[in-house]
Amino acid sequence: MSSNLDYSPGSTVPTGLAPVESEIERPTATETERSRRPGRASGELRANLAPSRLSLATLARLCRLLTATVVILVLLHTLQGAIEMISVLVPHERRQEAVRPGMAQFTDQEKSVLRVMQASKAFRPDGTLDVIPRIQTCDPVRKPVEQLISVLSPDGELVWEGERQHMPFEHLEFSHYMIGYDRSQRLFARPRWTPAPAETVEFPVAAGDGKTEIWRYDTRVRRFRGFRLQGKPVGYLGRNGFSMQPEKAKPFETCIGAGEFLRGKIRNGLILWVTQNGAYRLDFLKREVETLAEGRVDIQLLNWSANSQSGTPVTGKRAMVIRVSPTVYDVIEPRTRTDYRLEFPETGDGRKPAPFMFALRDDILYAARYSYPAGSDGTRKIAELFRVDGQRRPVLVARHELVYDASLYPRLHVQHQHPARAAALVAVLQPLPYGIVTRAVLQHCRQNPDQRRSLVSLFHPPRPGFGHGTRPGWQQRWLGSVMRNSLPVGPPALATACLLAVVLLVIRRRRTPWQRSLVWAVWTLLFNLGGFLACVITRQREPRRVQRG
Amino acid sequence: MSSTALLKKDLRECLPWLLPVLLILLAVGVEETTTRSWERTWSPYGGYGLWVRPDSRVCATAGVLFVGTLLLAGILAVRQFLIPSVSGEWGFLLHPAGRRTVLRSRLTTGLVSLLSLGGVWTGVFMRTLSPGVLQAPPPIDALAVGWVSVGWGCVFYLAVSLAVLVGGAWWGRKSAPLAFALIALLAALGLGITAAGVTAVVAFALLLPQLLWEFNAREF
Repeated sequence: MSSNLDYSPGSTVPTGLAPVESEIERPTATETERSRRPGRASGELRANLAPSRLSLATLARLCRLLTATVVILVLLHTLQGAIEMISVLVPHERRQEAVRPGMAQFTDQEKSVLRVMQASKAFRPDGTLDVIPRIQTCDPVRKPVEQLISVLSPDGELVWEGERQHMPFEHLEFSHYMIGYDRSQRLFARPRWTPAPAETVEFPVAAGDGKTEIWRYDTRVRRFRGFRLQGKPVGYLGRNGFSMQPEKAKPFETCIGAGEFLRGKIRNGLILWVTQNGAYRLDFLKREVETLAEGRVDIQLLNWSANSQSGTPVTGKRAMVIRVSPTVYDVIEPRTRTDYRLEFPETGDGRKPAPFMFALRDDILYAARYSYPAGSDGTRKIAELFRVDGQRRPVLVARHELVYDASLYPRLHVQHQHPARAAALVAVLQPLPYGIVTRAVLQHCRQNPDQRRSLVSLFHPPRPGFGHGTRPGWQQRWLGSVMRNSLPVGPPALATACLLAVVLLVIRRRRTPWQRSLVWAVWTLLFNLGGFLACVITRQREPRRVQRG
Repeated sequence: MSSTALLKKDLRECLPWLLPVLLILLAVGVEETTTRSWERTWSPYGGYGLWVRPDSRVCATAGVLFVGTLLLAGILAVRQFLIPSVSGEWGFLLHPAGRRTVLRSRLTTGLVSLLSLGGVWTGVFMRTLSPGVLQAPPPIDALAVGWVSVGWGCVFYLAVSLAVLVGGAWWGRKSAPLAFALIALLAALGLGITAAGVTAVVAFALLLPQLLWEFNAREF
């Protein structure tokens, strides 16, 4: 037998060298000869047919099918995302044609109203309200040209036009609520696995004896842990204060923001720590935790950080505003350690209570509110500016009534909708588990309103706040479009999956076992087009049975 | 050829690629845990006056480990499975030893080489815990970060090996395991440490049976 062996490169390895499943899966020219050989070859062939070997083959096939399905689904979704991005960024010619005559449906007055509605609004300290139309662009790379701007009155009349840096007016910069806004949510989340290890928040504190202490926030146990020189532990700081034992320090809720409590005094160990469920003043030196507010609080930090756009450092007074109710707010000024409560008047005309936004300018606290009058059916909007006087009482500075027509938006936003044909195609091809997952998530969100709100905003990106334009960014619109078209799986997807499963059964190879074909059909039913393509790609030619004798 | 001899031979073939990566990793790790100017790495971050710095002093070591494991995984897979196919070496190997022995030897040496990088990482981590090296010793998560990187290196080792072994002329099918590993890695980059580790284990478990089967079924 050895005389028949051929060891030259590229030659088929002869019998006895390998326990080959390929002898079953992929017949070779020498198969018949091998099967007739006695001894080791037949023994290995028997071993190949043993249940353990067959189970490895089955397992490998399943794994290959799964990996191929994952790859194909990702490719399909990448394609879908690309198509939807094009549809969001570059309107189709036919859609443009449809939109252009559509714009003609608006009268000149409606166009003027739309222009004001879509513009940014800004209060001057004296109460004047300026309307600054936004320059729209479809190009995500090119930012809107902001050098030349025009300032309108609330009636739409031109007040001033020129370069932004030469604008003779100064506007109030209102703060956002921290919850759901602050970027430090990302920072304080559990450490992620990345090529560079996760970032940790550490506060160096100059202790009284001239040594430095390091206080590190442990995201795993949500407590601070202090170290002195040479890694000697100091103790733990939790919601309830200092403790030497970690279990005695109550963990904080998820942090949404933090910063120095007093400007430039971070090494003094005074830290403002804002979580989802409270605001705290941490004093690492005295090992104290003071609760500023507890419960689910909405907090605005005023004049706290550097200007995010210009980067200029802030000076003057800083304050923290905690919302108690839409008309009642607690104000904390950290430098003077003064706390007081602001109570704003009710609207009195049945308007829905709207939260205030606050701004600090020249150490004077301003508050603005935008609301819809009752019974106006969304046709008017009221903008009010308050100033807090020396007695810490809000005084109305200005009240403007803006022409507003909510009914214009549906007509206007037609151009931003997803093309119906592409949406139908995408919906038809979605895997069925997506629908199951969506149902489970919705069921979960029904019990948790906060998560429901964030989920809804993912599908239907909300318009930015008043004064920041009326249209979400292209990224949000694109993601919303992808989510809206991907996740709801209905009867059309089921019908397509059934059709593809039948096609797979029809085009099955003659020698493919029925069990395997059935598995493929079920797989196609589950994963729709992705599963179908994976089955077609990964299937192998079945071996031809050799008739002996 | 006995399995021990085969193991030695495969290990000898791995060493020229393993040693440089090991030495670089060791050098960076020792350098980072020896210099005591740790305060200089602090930098103000964000608008709220926070002080944030990389998690422990072994940040650059983690980067070297991440890149090194992926690179080494690819090189070892190509060295162990592609080059023998090109040079026609399989015929000489498979005859005396048998497929199972050859595959076991190759996988063992490849995976042990990758795991040895994790050993260096653990050594560097243990050094950071020594008194006087760092004021605030790194949390245990830092150790897990390195081992997750090593785990993904193992996944890539299997994926490249499988891509090399899969038969057929169509490149789509050949590159499917590599594409799967890449997609899983990209997905894991956005996950937490535990989830990334679990994803690596699942990806490994999906690729290993395919590799065993392909090696058995392949005609050399």
